[in-house]
This record gives sequence, structure tokens and C-alpha cells, in this order.
Amino acid sequence: MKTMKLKPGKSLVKTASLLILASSLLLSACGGGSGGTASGSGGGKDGGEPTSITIQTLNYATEFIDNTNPLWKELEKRTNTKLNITWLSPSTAEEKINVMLASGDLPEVTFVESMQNPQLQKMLKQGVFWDLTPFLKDYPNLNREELKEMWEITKVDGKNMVIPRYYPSYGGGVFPMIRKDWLDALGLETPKTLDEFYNVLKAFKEKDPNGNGQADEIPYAANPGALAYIYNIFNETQGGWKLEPDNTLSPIITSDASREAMLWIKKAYDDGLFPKDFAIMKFSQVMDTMRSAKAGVGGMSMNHAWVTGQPVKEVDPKADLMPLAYLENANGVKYTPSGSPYYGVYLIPKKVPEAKVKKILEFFDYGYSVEGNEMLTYGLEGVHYKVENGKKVATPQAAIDKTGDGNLNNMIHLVSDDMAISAVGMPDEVYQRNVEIVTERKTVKVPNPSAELYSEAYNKYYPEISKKVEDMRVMVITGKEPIEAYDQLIETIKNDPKMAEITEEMTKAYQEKYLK
Amino acid sequence: MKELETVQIEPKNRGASRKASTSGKSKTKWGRLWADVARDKYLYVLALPGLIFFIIFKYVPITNLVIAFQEYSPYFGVLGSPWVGFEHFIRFFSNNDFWMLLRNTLAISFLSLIFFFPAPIILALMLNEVRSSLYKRTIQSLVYIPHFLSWVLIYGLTYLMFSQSEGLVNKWFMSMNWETVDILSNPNYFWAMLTAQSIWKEVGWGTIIFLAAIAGVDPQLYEAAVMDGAGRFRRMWHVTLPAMRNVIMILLILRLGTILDTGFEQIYLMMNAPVTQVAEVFDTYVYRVGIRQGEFSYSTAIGLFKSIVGVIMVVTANRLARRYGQESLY
Amino acid sequence: MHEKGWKTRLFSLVNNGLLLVVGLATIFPIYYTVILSFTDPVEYYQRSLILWPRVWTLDAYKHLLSNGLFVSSISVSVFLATIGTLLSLLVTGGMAYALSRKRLRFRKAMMIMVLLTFLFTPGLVPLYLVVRNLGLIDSVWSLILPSLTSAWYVLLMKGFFDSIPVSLEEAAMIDGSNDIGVFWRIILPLSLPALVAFGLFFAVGYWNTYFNALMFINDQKMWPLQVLLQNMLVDPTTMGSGNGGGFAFQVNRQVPTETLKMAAVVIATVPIMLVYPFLQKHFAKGAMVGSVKE
Repeated sequence: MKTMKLKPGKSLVKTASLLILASSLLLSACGGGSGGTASGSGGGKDGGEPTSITIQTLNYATEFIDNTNPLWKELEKRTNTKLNITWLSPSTAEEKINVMLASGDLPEVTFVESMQNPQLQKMLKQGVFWDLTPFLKDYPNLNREELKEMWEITKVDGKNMVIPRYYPSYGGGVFPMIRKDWLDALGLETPKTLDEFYNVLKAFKEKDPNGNGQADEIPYAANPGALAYIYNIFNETQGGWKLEPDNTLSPIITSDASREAMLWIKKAYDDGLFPKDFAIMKFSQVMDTMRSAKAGVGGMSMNHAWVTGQPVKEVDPKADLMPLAYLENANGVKYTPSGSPYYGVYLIPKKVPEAKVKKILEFFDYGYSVEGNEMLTYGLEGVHYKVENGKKVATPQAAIDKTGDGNLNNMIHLVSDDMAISAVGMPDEVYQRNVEIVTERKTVKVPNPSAELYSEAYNKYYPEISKKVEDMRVMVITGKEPIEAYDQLIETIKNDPKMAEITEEMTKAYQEKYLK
Repeated sequence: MKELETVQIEPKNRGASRKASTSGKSKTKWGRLWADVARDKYLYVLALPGLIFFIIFKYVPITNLVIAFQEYSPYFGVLGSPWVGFEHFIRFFSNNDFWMLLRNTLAISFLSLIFFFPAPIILALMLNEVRSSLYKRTIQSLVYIPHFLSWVLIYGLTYLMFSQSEGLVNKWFMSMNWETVDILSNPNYFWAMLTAQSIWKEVGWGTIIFLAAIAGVDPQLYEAAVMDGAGRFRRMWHVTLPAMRNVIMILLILRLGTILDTGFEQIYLMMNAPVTQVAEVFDTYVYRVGIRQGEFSYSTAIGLFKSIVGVIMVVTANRLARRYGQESLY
Repeated sequence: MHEKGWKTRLFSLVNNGLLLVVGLATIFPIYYTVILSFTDPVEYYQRSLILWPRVWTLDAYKHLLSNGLFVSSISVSVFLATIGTLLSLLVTGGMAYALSRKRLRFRKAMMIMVLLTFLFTPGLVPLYLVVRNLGLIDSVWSLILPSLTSAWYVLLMKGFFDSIPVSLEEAAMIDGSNDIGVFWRIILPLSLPALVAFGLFFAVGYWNTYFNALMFINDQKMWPLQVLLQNMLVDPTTMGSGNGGGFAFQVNRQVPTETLKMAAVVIATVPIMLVYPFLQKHFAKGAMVGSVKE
């Protein structure tokens, strides 16, 4: 082929670009602002036509149910609605929610996983969503005692702009889950302090708890992310910020306590208490190590005593996974993971007419009533479960209609600790022990001053700063960098005006939220 | 004036019936143009679906690139968001990490250019020299397979082969009482490992196009070369390689245009804390900041920067290629 | 090739030997994958290295195939790989053919327009808006239309058509065919090998459709195979740790076993791999794309 002339001719380029521009402007004009699902005919009155509601939410089930599911139909009947639910699978929810927020393509009931989502925060300030405060008092179940705290803590500038999705305060979070059978085999007590915990790990390594004569045990299946709580133990606070006596917040990322925490982990790493691939393992690989029954400790929420405990049992029938209640640091201060009593929030965009907003709240009111709430998780009595000795026993129909974990239960969680500590098929003794442990955990109050705080500077700069520090920590722990490099990095961050700006904004946000 | 005329072309073309009526007026260059267009109306029809595709799915979204100069907010939309000029670009270039990102991106790209790009050419040449067609076909089919595997799986396989606790290689070292080697979290090996992975995955698939080019060589050329007493290597050099030259040039130019693109998924999966300093590239940064932190304007600005560099690279390479009498892109 | 010296033989030996090494290096990990998919998870966790399972089990496959959505996802994927591929070939071919006719007016403008898209990649959000405004969300067409073709394919195919002599076309024109007729009756049959090659490229692309499906498809029944498998396999526990501080690990789902993952990989890749041998003979000639020049 003969090569063509170099210059395609300026006019040709212009022609092409004009042609493109003209047509694309036409198309994108109908693309921008307006958009959105048609909000249907305004909310129906009670007893009238069923109101259609478009809901988008997470679903952890492998198979999503649709409107042919009997339980779904029952819910529609009882709430006089026509539900149009878009399930998001957890693997992609974050990206998808972000894209939807950015495109302005919002369903009538929009789910966002975190209040801290920067886009959400901007949109809340712009008034994209309904302020629900004036309506809430009309819905008794939404004002249930158990839900008071979640409504209070999710207020934005004193207003309820979101419907939080309940999740218990205790029982979730990454915290050590220990092989009770190994403890017993070595005659060890359940560790209560960090030092005891360390000694247990060491014993797991040296004393052959599985009794096969080989030193093949991995004391603690962990990656750097799974050890974040160690820093909280040392800093005696939840989250990334600590409340100082003068009511200001300080970032724990640069604190001396965090340095000590890092050195604690480093010592454990040097003693071979973590897997060799500690630095590069992804969560699934950590879980896989746990599952191979060669690990003595893993970091998990309490329901994994059975969710993961059961597959470990398949490999080693003696295995028994037990969550720890708390750990104490050298100052004698106890720590256990806890959070605000909700996970994820629902929002109603302003384009939804007021009558329908009320209808939606009515729907959630039913979902949080005792009757509706139990139905969403357990199904219908007599059909999906029978009550024996005060306990609900699932019938075969439960599996067919997919009650239990996931699906409707994911839309509105069961208002109970069971959400975090129980699992389908969990044996009684494991469940009872979990109840005891969670009760013990509840006696441990760890302050969480930065919960639900939002700062623009934080969103813009903090992720990069914290990533730098986390990377550096791993390098020091695995001996790729000396401690001096870490000290130097912390010094620069302390002097970074961006960090000062973040700290100032966070303090201001704290004082506005909690001290007014 | 001219632009106006062209904009109308397509609609007129579709209604092919009114051919002559509008054009009869003059025999000037407009008239000729119209006659040409009318003559080729069916060609335009053939091209039309493709044109519509490019406009709707490429150019319409591209107009949204203007948000790189805005503080985009979905509430106001593309048309209503406030303009901020070059703020996002300034923030990006003044970021301390910009040079790190640029260095890593270029390093990974150039390694791929030097080692990954010629690999399928060499393999194709080697395959071409195999006499037994059964053997050749077997090897060919084997090396195609990795192309079909996703990066997630390749990450898993790499871990199975090279990790310190699970890895086959280290298991073997241990059984020989040697020290285990840290391969996956070692900044010194990271770039090499990425390149090796890409080669493993795509080298076989890459040979397809070159083998085809070789197949197009006139056998008489080889015979003539043999007559001249050329050995294997000289035949390869003087007959086979020149036949592949056009394909190689075109691929090379296109590759240069994407010099700032690095396989996002691959790097994202292989990245871990100890190697971050050598692993973070534009693509991973955009993902982290743009999608996860929701800074769409900022990440769009970075994307735009990448595109502009790409255009410059392609145009320059194309010009150079033409100057040296090689095949060029357009 | 007449020379038969020891040099030639040595060369062949070394060459074949090297190729064998390359072949084995590619096949081994894949062998390992297949083997693991037939291994019992308990055995996998107990033994350190498995080159041959003690007991062969189909459990992983049974588990995957028992998913109610499996059939629907297979049919979506097959639909994409067939109808999508055909449409892609038509659109790409038509455009590439038109662009390869040098007499065509505005050819260069169109070429530049195509080439530019090679460099400017539209962001996710804008594309999402376009798809939504066309009403394609939750429609199988959202997986076909936005990926019908690309500058890359148009360019390669144009290169191929460039090599077809104009005389053929002119002869047909004299017989009274128009351009579409020529394209359909003469050019396409002549290009069969190239079409096969491109077809395979497109088919692989459609078969592996993943990201677009995540964004554009909400209805599980419309999920293609790759999305279904990923959704069954992903460890949901890593989620929610994003920006919420990682407290609410509310997941009750087990992390899938390694053997299950391997079985999913086999299911997801084998069908498309099987297509290849049937097309292989067309391939050699087919992928000449752009290589044969006058």
C-alpha cells in the first residue's frame, strides 16, 4: 500500500470534528441533568392501588429472589406495594453505587454503603435528598428503642436525611478467632491481654498443638489489613482518631502508640508467628490458610465461629473456633471491636413526590416492626419455620423460598445481635457461647470519636497519606526498611500542612456534631 | 461553508432517490463532490452503522471529558457544573507522586516494548522453522491457551508458583535445603515479573498475526535465497522478517500510542505494600482516586493527559515511520 | 531446502527443544488448574503439593452446575458470542470495506475520526449515561452495542480489504452489482479466512464480557456466565472494608474453596477454547490482516 499523504488537510479534520461535535452535542444534551426513573403515579392512599417502589440494595445471597417469590409477594400484600428491587452483588456494589451517584441515576430508594462516601456528602449538602425529620414521628416502629441510636448518629446537620440500615454494634469487625481445641491441647487459658495473646501464639508455633509431630502450624493467619485492630488496642480508641482531653481530635496514624503497635507486630513477624507471605496475602488467601486447619488464629466477625468454623471442621474434626471477648493493652485498657448500630443507609431523592415518601416510610416502618422484621429474615411461621421450645426451626420450605441470610433479610436486617453472631446451621453450643461472649464484649466501651464525621480535606488527602504509612509499616515489619525510615515519614506527615488541615477540619466536625 | 455541506451528507445519502435533482446546478467542485458521493452512496450505507456506533458510543461519552475542567457534580450535570480551568491538572502535576507514577508507567511500558513486543515475533520465527507440522500445531495450540485465562486466575497461578509459603518454586528450594526466595514482594523483581507474566499470557496469541504474515511470503523467494546460498538465519533476516515488517510497524506505532497504558488489572492484582513504590502507575492511581474516592473530575483530567500524550506519540511515530519509508498508520 | 548438514539438524534440535520448554511452561499451570478442580477440598488443604489427586471428585462441578442461574447465564453468553459476533463482523466489515475504497470522499475524515477513538477512552460514567439514555439497562443489547467494534478492528480489517485487487470489484460492477452486492457476494466470501479470525477475536471478547455486564445488568437472569461465576466466587468479606472503617463484616457466606474456583475457571474457559481447533485451518491464512500489501 502506498502511504497516504501526511497532511489530511486541515479542512478535513475540521469537517470531521464538526460533524462529530454537532451530533454528539445533540445526544449528550438529553444525557445530562434531567434523567432518572420515572417516579410513577404519586403515592397511593391506604387500601388503594398498591404503590410501586423502586429500591436498590445489597444482596449477599448467591441467588437473588424476584417478584415471583412467595415471601416477596406476601411482603407486597402486607404493605400494599409493588416492589421493584434492584439487588447489588457485594463484589461490585461500591463501584456501581459510585457510578449511579455520579450519573444522577437514582432509584426512589437509593442505598449507599457508607455515610462517608464523598459524593454522597456533597449531594446531601446540595439538597438532592428528602429531609425526613418532619415525617419520622408518625412511624412508631421506626422509633423503636433499639433504633434510637442509629437515627441519632446518622443525622446530618441535625436532620434525618437517611434511613439507616440496622446492624448490631457488637459482634462484627475483625478480631481474633482462636482454635479453642489447640488451647485445650496445650492446657492454655483463653488470653485476656496482648502479652498473653502473644505467648499463646508462640506456644502454637513451638508446642505442636495439632500433635502431628511436625512444626507445620501457622500461629496466626493474618495480613497487614487484618491486624489494624492492634493499632486501636495500643491507641485505646476505635477508628482512626483519638479524642484528646481538650476536645480536639488527633490522628492515631502518627501517634507514638501506633509506633509501638507496629513494633509489636514486627516482633511477632520476626518470631515467625505470621505466614511467610504476610505482606502479600489477600483476604481470601488468609481465609484459605485458616481453612487448611493449620492456623491457630484468624481475624473474623463472630458469626464466622460457624461460617468458617464448619469448613475447618471438615479438615480437622476436632477444630473449634472461638471468638475472643476482648484484649487488654499494657495499661490495662480493654479493647473490643464495636461500631455504630447500622450498616449502610437508604436515601430518597427529592424527585419522589411527598405522598410517596410517606408510603416508603410506611414500608420501612413495617420492615422494622417486630412482625415484619422477623418475616423478612425467618419467613412465615408454619410455612418456613416452626417454633419448638421457644426456638425457630427452619422447614425445608425455608431453603426453597430462600429465607435467612441474604435477600429480603439484606434489605432490612434483623434487629438483633443474631445478625452478627449467628449463622444458618450454627449448633446450639456455639451460638450460646457466642451470646456469652458478645455480652462480655458489650461491657467494654471504647470511644469512637470520629464515627460519622466528614471532612473534605480528609477525603481528598487522607487516603494517600494513610496508604503511605500503611505501606511503610509493612516494610518495617518485614524488615525491608529500618525504623528510622518510618520515623522520618511520620515526621514529614506531622509537618505536612495538608495533615494539619485535615486534623483541623475533623476537630471542627467533631465539635459541631457532638458538643453543640 | 464546506462544513455545512458535509454535515448534510449522511441524511441525504440514506434517501438515495433524490439523486440528481440537487446537484444539477453547477459543474464546479461542489457538483463533482456531489456526483462522487451519489456514486458511492452504497459505500456510505455500508459505513453508516459503524459511524453511528463510533459517534454514539465513543464521541458522545468523550464530550463528557469537559468535566476535567469542572468541579463535576451530578446534581448540576455536565452542563451546569462550575468551571475550574486547569485546577485538576495543576493538582496532578504538583503531586509529589506524579514523578513516581510517570517513572513506573514508563518503565513498565518500555520493558514491555523491549521484551514483550518482540517475543511473539521470535516465537513466530521459531515456529516457522519447525518441519513437522504436527509438532508445530501442537506447540501452537498449547501456547494459545493462556490468552483465554483471566488476570485473576493468572494472579492465583503466580501465587501458587512463587509465593514463599505455598509456592511450588520455594517448596522445591526448601526440599533442597536452600533459602526460600521472596519474589512477589520484592521491589527489585516486580517489573521483571510483570513483563514475564504478560509474555506468558500473550506470546502465543501474538504469534497469530505474524505467522499469517509469514504464510503470505511467496515460496519462490525462499528458493531464490537458497540458490544464492543463504543459510537459515540469512533467509530469516532477508526474506521472512521483511515480510513481517509492515505488521510490525503498524503494531509498534499503535503500541507507542498507548505507552501510558499499563495493564490495570494485572498490576492492581499483583500490587502489595512492599512494592507500591515501583508498582503504582497512572491506571491504578486513577482507579483509587477516581472510582473509589469518587473524584471524577480529577481522574478524568488524568485520563485526558494520558490521551494527549498518546496522540503525540502516535503522530510522531507515524511521521518517523514515513520519513524512513516504512509502513504508516494513515 | 536442500542442505542436510549437522548444522541444520542441530538447529532443529535446539529450536524444537526450546519450543518444547515454552509449551511445557504454558501448559503446566493449566494442568495444575484442571487437576485441582477435580480434587477434594479436604485433600487440597491437607496435602502440600498435588500433581495427581488421590480421589477424583466432581463435587466442585456439581456445586457450580446446581446453581439455578447457570442455564440462563450460559444462554446469555452463547447469545453474545454468536449474535454479537455476527453483528460485529457486519458492522466492522462494512465500515472497513468502505474505508478501504480509496475513491471514497471524506474517507480520511472518517479514518481520523476512527483513529482518534483509539486514543481517547471515554470514562465509565459517560458511557453509563449513554447506555441508560438509550434504554439499554438490563437488556442484552447493552452488552453488544457498546462493544460492537473498535478502531483497532476496523483498522486491521481495512488493511485486509486493501489487499483485495480493485479489478475484482470493477468486474462485478460491470455485471450490474452495486457496492453492497459486491461486498456481500464477492468480498465477504473472499475474506472468509479473515472473517473467521476476526470472528474468534470478537467471540472471545463477548464470551469474556464482564465489566459492562456488571454496570449495565441488574437482573440476575440476564447475567452472562463470567458475572455469575465471579459472583459465586468472590469473597464478599473484603467488601465493606472500603471506606466505612471495616466494621460491618456482616457476611454469612463462606469463602469459596480453591477447588471450586478452579472448576469455575475450567467451565468459563473451556467452551471458548474448544472453538479454536475447528477454526484453526482458516486461521493460518485468516489472520493475514493488513499484512499482504501490494
